[in-house]
Amino acid sequence: MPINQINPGTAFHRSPNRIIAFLFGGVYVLVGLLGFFWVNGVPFAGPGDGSNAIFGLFEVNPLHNIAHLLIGAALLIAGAGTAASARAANGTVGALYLLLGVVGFFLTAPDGGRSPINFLSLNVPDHILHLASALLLLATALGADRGATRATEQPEPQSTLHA
Amino acid sequence: MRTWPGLAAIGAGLIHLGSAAGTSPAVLVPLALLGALELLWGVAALARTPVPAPVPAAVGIGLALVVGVVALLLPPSAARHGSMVDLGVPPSAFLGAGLLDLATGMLVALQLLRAGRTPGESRPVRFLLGAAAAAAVVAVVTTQSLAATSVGGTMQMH
Repeated sequence: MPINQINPGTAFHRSPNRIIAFLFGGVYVLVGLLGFFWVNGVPFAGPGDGSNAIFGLFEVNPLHNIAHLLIGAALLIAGAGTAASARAANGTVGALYLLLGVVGFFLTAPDGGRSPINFLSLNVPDHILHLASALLLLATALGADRGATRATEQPEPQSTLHA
Repeated sequence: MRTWPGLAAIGAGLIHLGSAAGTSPAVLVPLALLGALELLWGVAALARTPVPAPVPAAVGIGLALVVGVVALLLPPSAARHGSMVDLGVPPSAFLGAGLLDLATGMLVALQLLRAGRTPGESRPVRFLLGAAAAAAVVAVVTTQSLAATSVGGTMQMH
């Protein structure tokens, strides 16, 4: 069966949406937790001085870490559910990240990203990561498991024992 | 590879929309319109197989490429004749968008050539690896192109 068709009760390894939701969910939860090691002295919702970059690349602040944790948890839960729930979560998070990918440029433009308007402490590597995440999540939500909806998807078949 | 034309078109749309910000209305309106069309077509191309409206899309991509080349050549040509033309958009933005438009056109043509073939077996991991590679390339080209525009001109890496 092609991966863009209805696939009731889609098993994890056969659903691109469940795989990517679980993978991205795990990575974002991990990054959200890891980020708290780099926010010493950084305002809750403001830009840092450059020392608040995970592995010297991706700038974060406490609010940015909390957003990562929430997005990661939502993707993990959706990925553990059905292909329909994973597809809905991927599409929603992808659209939000696409919006952030564009709006982020306007937030980081004043004062080279050191203005208080940069409330997520974004930098160029953040933009690249958010845009790549958005594109991959959107491509998967729109291009795979297309027929999977709550109405069409059935639970995975359970093995039955016969006496 | 099925997702590549849509992703490339979304990237080109984002560059055109982002570079339109802060320009004069004569530049802003056509660039924003072009960017919005590319973005909408890109989303539609991700959601449908085969890609929607391939012939109008090919014409649109051709026009976008011509506009990009003219925009790249106009300022140096005008300077050679003693006048000054400043579109307010850096050449790298037109180059990045042009590159993605060109890729979109080639990928649409390739899909049309393969239209008669029966689709292969379902391979979720292969689908994800292909989409991830395209998303990474488009994200880097788009971000670097936008970083040179008025909204990204003062951005620092960290």
